[in-house]
Amino acid sequence: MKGKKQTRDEDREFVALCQRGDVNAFEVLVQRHQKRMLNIAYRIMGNYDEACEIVQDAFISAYKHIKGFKGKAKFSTWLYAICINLSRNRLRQVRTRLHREPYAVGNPVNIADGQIALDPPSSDPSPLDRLETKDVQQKVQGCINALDAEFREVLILRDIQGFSYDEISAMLKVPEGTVKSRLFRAREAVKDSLKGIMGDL
Amino acid sequence: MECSEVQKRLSAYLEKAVSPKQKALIDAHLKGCKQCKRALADLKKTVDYVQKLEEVEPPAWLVQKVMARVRSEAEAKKGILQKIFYPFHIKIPLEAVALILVAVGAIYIFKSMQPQMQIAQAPIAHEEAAPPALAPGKGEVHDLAEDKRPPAAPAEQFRDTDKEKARERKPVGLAKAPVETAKREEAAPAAGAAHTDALKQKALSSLEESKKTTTEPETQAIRFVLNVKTIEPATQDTEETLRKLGGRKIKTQSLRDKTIINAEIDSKQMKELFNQLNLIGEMQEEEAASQAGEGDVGVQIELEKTAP
Repeated sequence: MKGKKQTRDEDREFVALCQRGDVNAFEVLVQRHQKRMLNIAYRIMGNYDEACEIVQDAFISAYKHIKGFKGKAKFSTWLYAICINLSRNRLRQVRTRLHREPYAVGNPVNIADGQIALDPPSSDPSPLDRLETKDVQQKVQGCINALDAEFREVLILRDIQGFSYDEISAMLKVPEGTVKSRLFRAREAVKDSLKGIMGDL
Repeated sequence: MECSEVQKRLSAYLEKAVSPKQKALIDAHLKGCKQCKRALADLKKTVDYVQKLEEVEPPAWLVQKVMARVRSEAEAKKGILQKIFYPFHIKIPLEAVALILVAVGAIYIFKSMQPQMQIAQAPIAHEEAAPPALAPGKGEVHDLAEDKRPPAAPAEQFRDTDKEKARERKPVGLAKAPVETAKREEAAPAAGAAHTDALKQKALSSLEESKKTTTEPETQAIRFVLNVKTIEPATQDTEETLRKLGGRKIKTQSLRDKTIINAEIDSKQMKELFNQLNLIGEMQEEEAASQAGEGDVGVQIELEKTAP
């Protein structure tokens, strides 16, 4: 669980300043949350540049709507929810585009409650990326990319970002039980596709 | 517990998010089931792989870029708000500065123009003051006029007051008077001659005054005596005639055997009146009938019955 605790009071203070029009206070919040936001967006998108764009858009959107933030949830939860939503929307656009491209079409894999479009792991044989860890990471990312958005988000938020179930349920606005079952399915799917790619785990 | 059920709970089991009772059941199952054990191991490895994914660092420009956009957003918002709620917020200082600039510019231009304006006005002022004295020598060079001006001034003043006197008299004076003054104006002499001229004029006007007193109608009325056959129609005819000739203050006085009509009439009409009266009756007496003066003249007409 990496850096899970955001001190609630600190964010509150700066959020209040922002709501009174203090732009510099917002900069503090950007500094504080940009890395986490970028990582969430990056794992959802699987693309660094796209992730950067999404993080920017998410911060702008947050700034525009900061007066609408009533403090029911933590500010970070609210902020990450924006980021996840934007990522999800962006992904949908990208997916639609990719599906029209013949090489990007993956083999649909049947799982218990539907289909998961399985993208073959991108096997860029770029000489610089020959390091094995890089290779494995790319494969894992490829498996995550193969997941449907709802499973992917839960997996990222839980296993990568280490948010608690109730935080995730607040961000995604789904009940905790749903978070649990999605997580289970997401893990199973990643396990299966990793097995398929790497042979033995 | 069957394998499928165990495997469903493995994810939760891994995070120790199962009840102790379930944990015991799963533990028991795993001991005897190689398949499920392997599934757990794979799951563990998978989660490990996922968790091992490296974090990425945000680019250095990300904060700057975000803040640049946020600031422009804030500016735009402010701009709109200002346009709606404070339409003069920025404009007032601008307008004030513009106004001050215009005012300063106007004052500067006015000041720089003033000497020129004085130069331009000066000759006009001279000409206004000078003409009476200058009249004959209007063609003279300006410098000369200016030189002459100081000595001319007193005479001029004198003349001016005198002229006013003349004007006052005009309405009562003889017709000659205005003509004469006009003549004098035409012949307005140079500065030196002005004095004597004024004296002459004074004398003339006093003469006019004396003339006027002699023709005063109230004191001396011209008296006519008419013999008529019947008094009454003759009275009416006389009155009518007087009215026609512009007679005023017609006053008829009826006595026992004669009627006296007093009136004022323009002296120019005197001759006409005389003729008319001759038609009405027999002119018995006339007194100073030929004396024709200026202005109104009083007349007294006595109508008497012709002796049988």
